[in-house]
Amino acid sequence: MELTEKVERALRNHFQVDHLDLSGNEGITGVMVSPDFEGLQPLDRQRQIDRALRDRSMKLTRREQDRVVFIAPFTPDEYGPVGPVEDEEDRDDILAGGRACESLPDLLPKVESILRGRFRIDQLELVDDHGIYGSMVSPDFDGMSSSDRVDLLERVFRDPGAGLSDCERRRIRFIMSWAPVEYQAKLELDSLG
Amino acid sequence: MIFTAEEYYRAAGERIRQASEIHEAGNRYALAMYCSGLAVECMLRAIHWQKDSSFEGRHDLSELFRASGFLEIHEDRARRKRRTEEEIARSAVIIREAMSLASTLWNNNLRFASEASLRAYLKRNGRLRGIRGDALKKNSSDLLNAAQVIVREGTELWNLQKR
Repeated sequence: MELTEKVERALRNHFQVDHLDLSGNEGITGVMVSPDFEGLQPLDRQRQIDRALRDRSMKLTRREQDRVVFIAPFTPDEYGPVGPVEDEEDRDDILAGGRACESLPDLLPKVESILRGRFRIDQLELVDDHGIYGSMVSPDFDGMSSSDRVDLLERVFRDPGAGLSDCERRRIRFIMSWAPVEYQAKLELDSLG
Repeated sequence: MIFTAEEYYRAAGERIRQASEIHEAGNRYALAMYCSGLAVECMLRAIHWQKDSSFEGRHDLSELFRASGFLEIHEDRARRKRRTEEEIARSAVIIREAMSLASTLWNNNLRFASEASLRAYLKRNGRLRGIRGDALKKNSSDLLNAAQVIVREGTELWNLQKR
């Protein structure tokens, strides 16, 4: 039996599998979609996959287990937006809607103004590169988790007072938020290289 | 040795698995964290190299994230699948959160860090506050979870671009 078949059998034996796509010979990689991953952190999903592969009844040798490089574990909800599209060629028209937002020359100063109005800013750098990217250093991020910061920025940009259209908001891709102590620690570590 | 997109993709999978193994072994969190961030860097390079191998980009994860167009590719994919803008925004938030955490916690110079230096770095970073138990383990676990998200999403984006 091929290794991919043995791995597939082990996974299907342990999980309710909605979708499984494995490839590779020397090292197996792939994607597995299962509702069993719901509510689990990525590391715990990895542990469950490892446990399934180690199950003695599945008869994968240690060497064979080592050849399974990475199986990306998705819940059905997570996989929804990224999984394959059946009629790919017919979907270009759909992208036209998203791409109608591509040329927004005044967005960068607008975003800068919103951020400066809402946060105490030590440093702010923004660029428009198929969307607004950048980084900002603010004492307002002190003690906040990364997810709280991302949520806060989402709320700031969604606030009607910000005056951003849906199109404009979609074009704001990623603004890295640093608390001053983090930024200082980063600069110190950068300088050691 | 030439690093192709394929090579970066394979390395991303290997590094994330090795990061998990090192983390689970315990007490080697500096190396586990370095490996986690490296997995993110490899995946971003893999996605970027598929369209352009000229970008050098140092080892700045935020910069690589921008150059790779990771979010644009992800959003285009979701629109092709006729997902609502609300769903697309929600999945983008998960990716942003993971990238934000990975960029905060990881630095390429962590490859030189002893466990003691790592602890000092995290303390300066304010990442030891309020943690009960092993703070290095907690930070390693946080970074590993974030790295898993990027490698997971990247794996599917890679597969789709190859189809």
